[in-house]
Amino acid sequence: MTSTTSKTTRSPWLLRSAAALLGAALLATPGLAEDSPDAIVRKTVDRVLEILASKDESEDQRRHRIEEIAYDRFDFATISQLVLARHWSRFSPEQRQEFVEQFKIQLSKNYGTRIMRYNQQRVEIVGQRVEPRGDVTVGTRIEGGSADGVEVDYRLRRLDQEKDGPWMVIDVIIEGVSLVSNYRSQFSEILGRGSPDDLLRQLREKNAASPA
Amino acid sequence: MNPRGFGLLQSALLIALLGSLPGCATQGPDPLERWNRPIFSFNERFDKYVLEPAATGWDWVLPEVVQTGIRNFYDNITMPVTLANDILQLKPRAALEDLGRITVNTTAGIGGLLDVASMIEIPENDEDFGQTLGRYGVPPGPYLIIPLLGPSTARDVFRYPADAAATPHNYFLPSWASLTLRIVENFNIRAYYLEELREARAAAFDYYVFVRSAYLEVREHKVRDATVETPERRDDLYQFEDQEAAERPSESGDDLYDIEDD
Repeated sequence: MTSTTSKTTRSPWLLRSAAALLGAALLATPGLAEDSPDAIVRKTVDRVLEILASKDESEDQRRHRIEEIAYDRFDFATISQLVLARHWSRFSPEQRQEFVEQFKIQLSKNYGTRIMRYNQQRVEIVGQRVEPRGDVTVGTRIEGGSADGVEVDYRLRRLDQEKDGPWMVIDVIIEGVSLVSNYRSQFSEILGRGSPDDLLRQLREKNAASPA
Repeated sequence: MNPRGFGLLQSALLIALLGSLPGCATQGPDPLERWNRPIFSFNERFDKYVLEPAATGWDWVLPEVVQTGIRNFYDNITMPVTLANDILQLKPRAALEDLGRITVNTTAGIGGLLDVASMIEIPENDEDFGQTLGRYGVPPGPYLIIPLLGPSTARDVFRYPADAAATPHNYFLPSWASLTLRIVENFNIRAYYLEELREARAAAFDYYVFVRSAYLEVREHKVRDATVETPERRDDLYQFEDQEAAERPSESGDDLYDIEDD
C-alpha cells in the first residue's frame, strides 16, 4: 500500500540544506530558556518528522531515536498516575515504580510501530488552550499522507507542578480519543476484577510479546 | 401453586435484577455490557473469518488507485446524508461546502471517482443523524453493539434508518443493488484499515473496552464539533484522585491552592 516513495528522493541536497538552515535557526535561539508549550510541541514534532524522513538510518535506529525523544518529552510518572486513577493507591511504591517503567515500554512500542507509517506528512499547530488548572493543550493537525486531516492534541503540564519545571506531555488526544482515558477504562476493567499484580503481569506479557 | 413458591420466583427475579444493577452503576455508559459482549465477539469472529480474509484478498488484487476510486465514489453518493444533516443542524456554511463537493466531484470528478473537491481544498464535513440528535441535546444513552454493524448507542441507532432515507440511490436502485454497493464499500474500507486494526487488537488489553471508550469519545467529539478552542469537558480526567491528597501528611487541603497563592 505504500508505493509512493519516489517523491521524497527528488533532491536530497535541498532537503539537507533545509535541515542545516533549520538547525542553524534552532542554534541561534538558545536564549529562549523558557519554552512555551506550543514551541515544545512544534520542536518535538519537527524532530520526529525529520527522523522519520531520514533515509540513511535503519528502521530500528530511527525508532530508537524517536523513543528517546518521547522519553524526554513525556511525563510517564504523571501519565501512569492519571491512567490508574483511583487504583493508584492500591499499588505499593515498588509496584508503582514497575508500572511506570512497564507502561512506558508499552507506550513506546505501541506508538513506535504506528508512527513509522506516517513518514510523509506535515504537522500544523492549530492553536492552544489553557486549562482551568494550568495545563495547556496544544492542538495539531496532520496534513498529507494517509492520516490527512487528523487532529492530534497534546496536553502538557509542568513537571512536578514546579513553577519553572519544563512542560511535559501528559496526554495525547487523537480525534477526541484520549490516551489517558482509553487506558484508564481498560485498566479499570482489569483492576476491577484483579489485583495490581495481575495488571503488572499482563503488562509484562504484552511487552514481551510485541516486536522490537 | 402456593404463594410461597410464587414469592420464591419473584425474589429470584429480583435477585437477578439486583445482580445486574451493580454492573449498571459502575459501568456507567454500558449497562448492556452483558448483552453487548457476546455480540461483540460474534462480530469479531465474523471479521476474523469473513471480512478480514476477504478484505486481504481485495487489497491484494485491487491496485490502490482502484480502491481510492471506490472510496471516493461511495463517499460522493452518500454525501447527501451529510448535506441533509448540515441543514438539519442549521449549518449553512457546511451545507454550502458539501453541496459544492457533490457538484464538483460528480462533474469534474467523473461521477465521484476522483476527489477533486479535496484537491481544490473544499472542506469536507462529517455529519450524520446521530450527531444531529446529539446537537439538539439527545444524550447518547446506553452503548450498544449491533450485529454486523458494530458499535453504536441508543441515540446513534437512529442514524441507520434516517440516513438511509437521505441516501438518493436508495430511491431508484433496487435494494439488492444498494446492498451490493454497501458490501463492496465495506470490503473496501476494511481493506484500507487492515494494518491499523491488527495493531489496535494486538495492543489492547481489553479490546471490547478499547473500542467502547474510543467510540464514545469520538462520537462526543463529533457532536460537539470540538476544536482546540472548545473548552475541555473532562477536566477531572487530569486530576489525581483524592487518595493521593489523603496520603500527604496532615497539611489539610490548603496546599491544593498553592498555585493561586503565589
